[in-house]
Amino acid sequence: MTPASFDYLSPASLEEALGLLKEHGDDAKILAGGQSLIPLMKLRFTSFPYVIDVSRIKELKYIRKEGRKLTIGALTTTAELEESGEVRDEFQIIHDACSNIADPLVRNMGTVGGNLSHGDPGNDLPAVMIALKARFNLQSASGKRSVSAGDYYKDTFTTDASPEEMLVSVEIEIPDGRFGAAYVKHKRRAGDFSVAGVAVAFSLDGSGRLGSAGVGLTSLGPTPLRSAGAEKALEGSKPDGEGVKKAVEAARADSNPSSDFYGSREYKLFVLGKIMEKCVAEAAGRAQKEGSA
Amino acid sequence: MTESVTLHREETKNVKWVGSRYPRKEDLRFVTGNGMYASDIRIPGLAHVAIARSPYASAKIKGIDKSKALEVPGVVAVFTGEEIVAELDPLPNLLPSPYDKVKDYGIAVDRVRYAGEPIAVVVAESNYAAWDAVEQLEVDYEPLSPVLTAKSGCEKGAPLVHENVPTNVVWQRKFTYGDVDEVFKTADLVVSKKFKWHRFTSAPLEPNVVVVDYDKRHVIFNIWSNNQRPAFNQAAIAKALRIDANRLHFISPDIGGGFGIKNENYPYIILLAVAARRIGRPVRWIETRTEHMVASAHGSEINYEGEMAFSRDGKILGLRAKAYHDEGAYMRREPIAAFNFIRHATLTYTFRNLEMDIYAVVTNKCPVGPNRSYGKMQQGFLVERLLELGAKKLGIDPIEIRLRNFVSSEQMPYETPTGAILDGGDYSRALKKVLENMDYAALVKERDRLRSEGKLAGVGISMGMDACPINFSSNRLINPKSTASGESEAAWVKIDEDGNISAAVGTSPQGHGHETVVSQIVADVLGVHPEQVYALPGFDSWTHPSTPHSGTYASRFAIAGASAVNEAARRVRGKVLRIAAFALKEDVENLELADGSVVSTKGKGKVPLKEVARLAWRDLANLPEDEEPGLYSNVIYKTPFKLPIDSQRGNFSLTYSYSACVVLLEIDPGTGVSRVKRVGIVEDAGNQINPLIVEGQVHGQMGHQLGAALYEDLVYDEAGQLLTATFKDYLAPTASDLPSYETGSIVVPSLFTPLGTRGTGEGGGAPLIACANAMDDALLPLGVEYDSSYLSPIKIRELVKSASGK
Ligand SMILES: Cc1cc2nc3c(=O)[nH]c(=O)nc-3n(C[C@H](O)[C@H](O)[C@H](O)COP(=O)(O)OP(=O)(O)OC[C@H]3O[C@@H](n4cnc5c(N)ncnc54)[C@H](O)[C@@H]3O)c2cc1C
Repeated sequence: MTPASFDYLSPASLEEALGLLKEHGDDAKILAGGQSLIPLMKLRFTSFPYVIDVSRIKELKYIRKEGRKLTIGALTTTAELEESGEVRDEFQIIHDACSNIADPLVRNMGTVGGNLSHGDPGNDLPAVMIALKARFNLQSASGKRSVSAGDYYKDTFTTDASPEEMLVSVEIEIPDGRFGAAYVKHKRRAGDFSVAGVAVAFSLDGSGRLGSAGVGLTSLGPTPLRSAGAEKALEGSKPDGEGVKKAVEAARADSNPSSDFYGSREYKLFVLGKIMEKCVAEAAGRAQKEGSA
Repeated sequence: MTESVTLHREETKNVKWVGSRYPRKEDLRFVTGNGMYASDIRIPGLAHVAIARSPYASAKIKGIDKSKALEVPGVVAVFTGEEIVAELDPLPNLLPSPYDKVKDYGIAVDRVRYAGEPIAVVVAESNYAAWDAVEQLEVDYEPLSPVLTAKSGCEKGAPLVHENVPTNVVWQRKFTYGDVDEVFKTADLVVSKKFKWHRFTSAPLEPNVVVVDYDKRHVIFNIWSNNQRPAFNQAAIAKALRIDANRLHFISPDIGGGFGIKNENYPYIILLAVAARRIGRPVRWIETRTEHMVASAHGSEINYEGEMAFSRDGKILGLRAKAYHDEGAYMRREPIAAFNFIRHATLTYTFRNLEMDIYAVVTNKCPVGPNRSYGKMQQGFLVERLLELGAKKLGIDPIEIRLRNFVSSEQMPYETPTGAILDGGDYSRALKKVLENMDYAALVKERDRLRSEGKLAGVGISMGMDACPINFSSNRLINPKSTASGESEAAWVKIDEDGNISAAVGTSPQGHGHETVVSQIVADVLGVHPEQVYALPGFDSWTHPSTPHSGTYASRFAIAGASAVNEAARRVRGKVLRIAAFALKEDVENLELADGSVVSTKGKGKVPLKEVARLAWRDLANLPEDEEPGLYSNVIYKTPFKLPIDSQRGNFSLTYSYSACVVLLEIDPGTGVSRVKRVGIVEDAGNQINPLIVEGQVHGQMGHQLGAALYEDLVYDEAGQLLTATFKDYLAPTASDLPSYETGSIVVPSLFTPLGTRGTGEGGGAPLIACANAMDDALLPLGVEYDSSYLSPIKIRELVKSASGK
């Protein structure tokens, strides 16, 4: 491991971290679990004068559930999220994604905040948060704001957060009534990034039709994607009906995958269809069970 | 499922440990993190090396400005290719003139020939400073258009990879046996097909490491590395460095996997030796994973155009093929992979007519080098794939067609058309046994059930063969100027003055368990427990014996290494018995060596081994007159080999271990992804010194070969950049990606080795080939065929779509 040299800063509190971010601005980079940043640094694809290691900030390490609302601190590891009983029982879609991220070693180190803020179109949690219409709480030395998951991703490795801002928590609230959500990831080996991934979340009304829906896509474009077209196609349709086919078409239209040795563009769009059908069916099955996602 | 072992040689009458599943002595230190690897070496004053590499597949180097690199704090020296090469002779190669003129120094001078080729050696006080300096090196390149396939390299007007030789086809030969044209004219059926053998590598977990300390006082290079055959490579290294080979002191400590690739780190040994001598300090280089993937050595890549002729009743009449080998930029061991078809060209079958037209073509890619089952599984693939296609066309069951073509056990030893002498075996028994172990009928039923569920599923069978070790007289067929023949291995066994037993062999193990196996062999010969035998770890050219063939490669340990140590132990035993006979005043014939003592079978008493040792080393006046002191024997075992029969025939291996494999493959038609649902193998390694270790080797070949079939593919883009340069993109499988293996074996001792053993480390490719055959079986209902050794989900998906429209 031979990155270019940098100054290592290790704040003990959020306040201190935000102060350092303000002071160093563009010259600094947040280091959380390091599982995405360090590979880039060791290959010298990137380097920064200052690395601010936030892993000592205990106040950002929590999972809080109040009724149908879930708040996750940014420094919660993907392993902690995966292992949380509440998450597994009531937000199964998050468990779907976490248990499919890399391997246990990476999950023990990697954080929710890092996974969501790296801006890697191949990361799994962004699509899930997009489908769940999560809100991301950002904070800087000069204030707080919140953005919706769907608006967070600007370009590959680029998010809406400014260099002085830090993602501090994620809030998810699922509507009352029957609600189902699932994440399906197609990958080659056990610990791999996806060839394509689909997250779907929706509520189901009394007549078995889909209410408000969220659709997030992984590895299907330059950023994690929201497919508004697919959401619209699903809304009002039955989980096994024509709406799903239309949603697949819409998701394909909203996607823009590049061809590589994981698959040609066409291949990935085809796989998208296959896993989307599976994903909707899975979510619909879960929606039958009142009060879980 | 291993049959009981019956050793058939007099030497091992008292077998107790040989043949047992003795737990590996090495494992405690390995699994507790106490292995000692080359990168664990600490030397005061050590400087760190980073290697600057070409970003282009083909380019002229117009200039290198190292001034900025030299300004980086901590930098000790920067040597460009030109500066290094001033102190070197080119590396030798096997090619006949004029292609022997291809210049290879392990570092580029005025031209780079593959992306990742070394261009400068940077030495610094830390690894970090070394890499900082690499970034500051300013190189002026003039990019050239690269040659990226064997086929395009053959075309008229193709750019020359090496401008000082006439073409990119640096070796070409057509080998013809029997009356090929005639049988193809009169055959009932001829199947022909183009196949692709894809480029992959065995990716050992420990990358290459070299540490060199130049000892000026004694004019010695001390070299720690994970080279898997330093004694073999020392002549080439000495020649390049223009020094005497006895000035090279090699140490290979524990090695974290080699699989052939670690034969090929010797160019780095040379570069570091130059750097160490120039700066007068020890230097160390630890390869990164990415460097390993782009620039160590890749397995061979071949385009086959094959044809097989059959009679109506399914007898193979002949094989005719063109093979275009993409050799990469430099010919270090090559064209051996291209040539190795000859070792068992006809696999387990009796056909006598064969034509192989071989083109070894240099390209602007990473050089090809030895890789587990080097050139052997490739020939198996060609034969087995064509046989499978023939069976389908003829409507003959794939098992039946093999049974009809096998060399039978009564025909052994059997001479093949290329002059290979098969050393015994029972191919039909092996095939029947694997089918029985796997319940073949149930497997077929399961396949049909999967098909009825809309899945694609196939059952595939394949034989594999692992011909070993290498009779180096085969080099004469590559280059008539070669004067090599045979091969050998050295071992010593010693009982010291206190009765402690030690043994050493020249084989440089890479995790194979040689310490265990050597202990078992010596324990049986000397009548002690394996724990009482200390087998020296690793390899050190000052303490271990060696010959120019020493090392672990070509599945040779169970033949050459085991035979050498067995013979050394026997000689020590002979001396122990003579000295004991003298002390007991008893005839040697009436003595037995067991449980650490020499005992008279006629009741004339016993002498502990310890006492014999004391006599031999300390009480010399009490030794028989004509007996030299000491209990020590150093043996150089000559593997019994002959010269070639003629310019295209000879027996170039001593043993031909083989395996029969069957797989059930399931393919998701939607994604094209293949999954091995079940895989079984039965191999015959002859007498197994340690069945536990043999089974481990079989597991290893399964992992490598199923990995190669299902996951691993080295992919270059149109500019000649390797896209799969990390483990994120080069999909080496993990345990969770592989099925469980159903292994078994049969034991038909080799007719030609002292212990009845066969080399079996590499395996003959059967699991990989069986997957390819299973893929064709799976695609049968769609009426299409597959043509590659790599089961690419993307290509399979395309094929399914074009055939089914879905
Ligand atoms: C072998 C391997 C396989 C992997 N496979 C997968 C996979 O299949 N799926 C998947 O989703 N991920 C995968 N990953 C990535 C892994 O999940 C990372 O842990 C995750 O992407 C980043 O989290 P981190 O805490 O490690 O962040 P870091 O690597 O420390 O940081 C990543 C980026 O996020 C920024 N950042 C971190 N925290 C914050 C914050 N609170 N606010 C603002 N910016 C922040 C950093 O500045 C940096 O730019 C894999 C990683 C490895 C090494």
